[in-house]
Amino acid sequence: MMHQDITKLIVRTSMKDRAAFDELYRHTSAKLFGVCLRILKDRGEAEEALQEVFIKVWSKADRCAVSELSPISWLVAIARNHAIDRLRARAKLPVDIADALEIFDPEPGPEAKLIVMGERGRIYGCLDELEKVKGDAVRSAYLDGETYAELATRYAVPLNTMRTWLRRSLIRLKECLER
Amino acid sequence: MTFEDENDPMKGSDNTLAAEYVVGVLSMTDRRKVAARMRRDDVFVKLVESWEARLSPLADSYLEVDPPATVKRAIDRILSNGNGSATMQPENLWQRLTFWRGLTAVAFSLLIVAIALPLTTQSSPEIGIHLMASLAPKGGDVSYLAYYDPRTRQLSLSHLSGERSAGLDFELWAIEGQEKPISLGVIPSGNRVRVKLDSKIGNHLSKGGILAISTEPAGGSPTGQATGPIVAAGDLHQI
Repeated sequence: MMHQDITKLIVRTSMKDRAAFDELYRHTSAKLFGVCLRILKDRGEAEEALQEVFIKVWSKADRCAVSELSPISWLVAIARNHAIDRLRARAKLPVDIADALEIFDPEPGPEAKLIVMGERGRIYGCLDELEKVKGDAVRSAYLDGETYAELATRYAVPLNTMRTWLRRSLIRLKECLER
Repeated sequence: MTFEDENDPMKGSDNTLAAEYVVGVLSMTDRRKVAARMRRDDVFVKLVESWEARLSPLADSYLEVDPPATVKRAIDRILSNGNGSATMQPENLWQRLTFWRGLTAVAFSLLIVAIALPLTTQSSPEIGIHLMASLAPKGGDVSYLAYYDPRTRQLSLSHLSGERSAGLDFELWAIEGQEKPISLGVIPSGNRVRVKLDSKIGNHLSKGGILAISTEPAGGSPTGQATGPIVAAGDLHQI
């Protein structure tokens, strides 16, 4: 489905058109469910999060019009932010490892295999200009919603070092994309 | 200040904060501060959006996974409820049970503390924030979806599954931390129920916490505290 079509569906959804909302759900729920699953790593919780995300889309569809984001990026941003908020709010429940593995492939992620062409692919070139661990840290933070503390533990560096790494990496990424 | 901090090119700037929010590394407290700022600072919103756009190609790596049909059905129930097709229950019954009841001295003083706290992000309901809870079965098959709009103080409940036994009622409770549960009243029967909460209980709910349903004698708990087993419960989430 093209961007313009999704935009139309969102505009109609903002006018409380249920049929448009249903169609929007059909076309975008799998992507947004993938976002919730990857971040929350728990199927039941991801389902709850997805419900909440679409209720939010229903009530805030008018905001999309004033956003400069593409419609699908706007939807993904809502889902990512909601899933990350839920992840942070969650009491430290033990995650069932088997469940987590089922939805999170520990092999080189699909992002490593993905061939992204054109303008959208530039970010991968820019990430490659960073040291490998730093590029990986940016990707992990974005895709899994990990905190500074979690990243620092995983890469076995002090918290402040991780903070500096990531901030520098983000600013270099910005400079690279603006070149 | 450490050597590292001095060399940090993005230290303390709005640009840093926007980037950190979007990439997702901030703590819950910091994320709430950012979200509150975005509701009143359009310039900052643009900064956040520029980072969302910049990093958005990374989202291509999220796999598409079809959600189960139950998700859409639950969404449809909530939306139908909010669309005015709801069965309105006698207001007086609900209010009689809701007003003040179960609002113990401890809970009341907590409310006062909450109102007096200078922390603005949590204590006053802001326009546009809604809360939702999936009340999942606890040892049975009773489940509900709850949706709360702090602006109108309207609480919508959608009955998903599980029936009450004859002569018994379901009672709804708000639980925050280790405090005693506050009764929100007996849940009228019906698939979709909408009720308006009074301002004190409404403000309490705006802060989040857990919603739980217990089985009680007809008419509700005789003691003001839950006497029967909890049959469904779930966390309130800001949406």
